[in-house]
Amino acid sequence: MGLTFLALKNIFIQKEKSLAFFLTISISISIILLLLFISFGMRNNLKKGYGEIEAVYTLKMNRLKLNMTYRGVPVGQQEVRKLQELPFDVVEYFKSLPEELKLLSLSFRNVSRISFNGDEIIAVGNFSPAGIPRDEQFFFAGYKLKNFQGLKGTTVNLPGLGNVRIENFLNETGTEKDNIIYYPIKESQKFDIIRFTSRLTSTQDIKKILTAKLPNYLSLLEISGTSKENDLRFSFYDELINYFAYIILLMIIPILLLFNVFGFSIIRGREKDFAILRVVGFKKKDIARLVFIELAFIGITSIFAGILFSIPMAFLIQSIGILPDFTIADIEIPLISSISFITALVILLLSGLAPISRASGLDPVAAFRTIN
Amino acid sequence: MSLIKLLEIEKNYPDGLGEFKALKKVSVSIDSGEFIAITGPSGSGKSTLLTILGVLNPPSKGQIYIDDIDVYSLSGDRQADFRQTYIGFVFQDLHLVPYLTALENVLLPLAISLYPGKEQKKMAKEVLNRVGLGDKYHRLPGKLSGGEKSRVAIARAIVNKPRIILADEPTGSLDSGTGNEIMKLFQSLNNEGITVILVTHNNENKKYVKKNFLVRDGLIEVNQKWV
Ligand SMILES: Nc1ncnc2c1ncn2[C@@H]1O[C@H](COP(=O)(O)OP(=O)(O)OP(=O)(O)O)[C@@H](O)[C@H]1O
Ligand SMILES: [Mg+2]
Repeated sequence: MGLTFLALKNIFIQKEKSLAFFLTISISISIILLLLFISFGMRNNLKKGYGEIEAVYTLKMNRLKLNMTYRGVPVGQQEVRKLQELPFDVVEYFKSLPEELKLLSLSFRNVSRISFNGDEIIAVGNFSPAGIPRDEQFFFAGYKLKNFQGLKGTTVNLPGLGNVRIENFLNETGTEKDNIIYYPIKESQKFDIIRFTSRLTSTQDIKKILTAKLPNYLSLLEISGTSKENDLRFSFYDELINYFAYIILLMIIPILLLFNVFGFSIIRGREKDFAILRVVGFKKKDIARLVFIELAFIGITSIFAGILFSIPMAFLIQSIGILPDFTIADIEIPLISSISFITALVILLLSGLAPISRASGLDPVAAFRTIN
Repeated sequence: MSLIKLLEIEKNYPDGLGEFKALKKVSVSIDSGEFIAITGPSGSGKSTLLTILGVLNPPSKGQIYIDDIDVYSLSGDRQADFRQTYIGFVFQDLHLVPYLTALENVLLPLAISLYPGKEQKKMAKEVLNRVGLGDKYHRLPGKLSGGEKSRVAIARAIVNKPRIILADEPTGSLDSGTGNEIMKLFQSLNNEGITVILVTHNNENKKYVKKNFLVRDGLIEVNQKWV
């Protein structure tokens, strides 16, 4: 007989407690996971459904030099030299991109910035807009805002710029344009990224298009998609995700408490048993190990069951069709599940510490006295 | 040479704001192979003395040497090891784990040992046979008689082949016939060289023991005969 046998025996003897522990934890876990699945599964559909909402993708260009012109005129000697090394015509390239890869803006480290508006590419960067002397050169960032007029007078957080008050921005000709603002950026705020909005659903899709368009240079590009960009801050989708995140965070606390309560419940009333074990030579750490095995066994099986249960539930929700924007196919089930598993495990371990130390710290003599 | 030496052992329990002196400067020696009865009025400190001997209850003052080891100076883990190898405990309430079978109860002390499972079972069955429960390995304590439960508790106490058996009123809840059988069992263990120390109220037990410690008011009187 070993500790594991003893632990399992304890679990099965305390059937009601163990079962309550198991069911409560596994059901809570599967509810949380289902919420996660739903929020992830609805994400892309929501994006498709709301035309306004666009993901922001970032292409990192590694040591890529851009042959940049400003309305046909090379921009800056130094830069031109560098930019000439670019192995393809970026302007042509971005013009040729399909509609779904609408370019928002381009920027390059220490060089300049190109913005794309409709089919016109506007280079902005290491040069002066109208009215500013040529020797006071600026870097400019271009931002396309969805609701430029509506936002006028308000402060908006723009990536790379921080909080910016929307008013009196100049475009490259010194006048406001519909929905693009330009803002001088500090020398320290370097960009080496190309940003563009896209209504494609995944980085894979974008990669596909870029592979077709830029077969020879794809290795130079590093594509990462993100929904956490400030650009999406005001979107409905973001609010929804926040809402789910909020629910999930709220549920972690009761789970922690549940683990704790059940941890204490499985040692409650066993003071005498632990005392016997101490008397026959168990060390404190042997008791700790015993309780740990019990907690870990119920905990891990219930977390596991919760995860396993949530997956068919997600399919069920899809097939019933109560959530029209929800498709399983969009969910990265293994990733979400394994992250949830690890998180739940950590919570389990943390909340097990108190009951474990309570059980192992019992004074056997006192335990016998109080129980009898 | 004495196996157990108590040097000016004192034990105080917290009692309200002050302290209750359960044992007052107790010094005794116990030789290997003795069979001792601890008697005395209720609340006199008998169980306290026994748990101190059992390395379960550190004294407030004084030293206790068992086999020349200052047991309470050992770390908690070493004390547990010491209990495991030197001491077998039997309680009046027996403290069998109710959902473990007789065999499993006896296996408990071995659960943390390095013996392989088969060897553990062999050892446990051996001692169960020894106490006359060879046919009741798989009974739960609830399905055993009082005397049989006592035997399981004794089997559990001796499975690690301890040198000392400590028993707190082992016959307290048994009828006199069964009590006598249990005492005979202790006697035969003592005959094998195990030192047996037991707390008892029962005058019938006087015929089995060799020596009597009379505990009164936290002090010990050592008598060669029962008083
Ligand atoms: N953990 C403790 N905390 C406080 N007081 C205690 C504790 N253990 C024992 N005592 C007190 O110490 C005294 C001696 O207790 P002990 O259990 O040793 O007596 P005993 O001789 O075994 O009595 P009995 O014959 O009733 O079992 C009693 O007054 C008891 O109330
Ligand atoms: Mg007592």
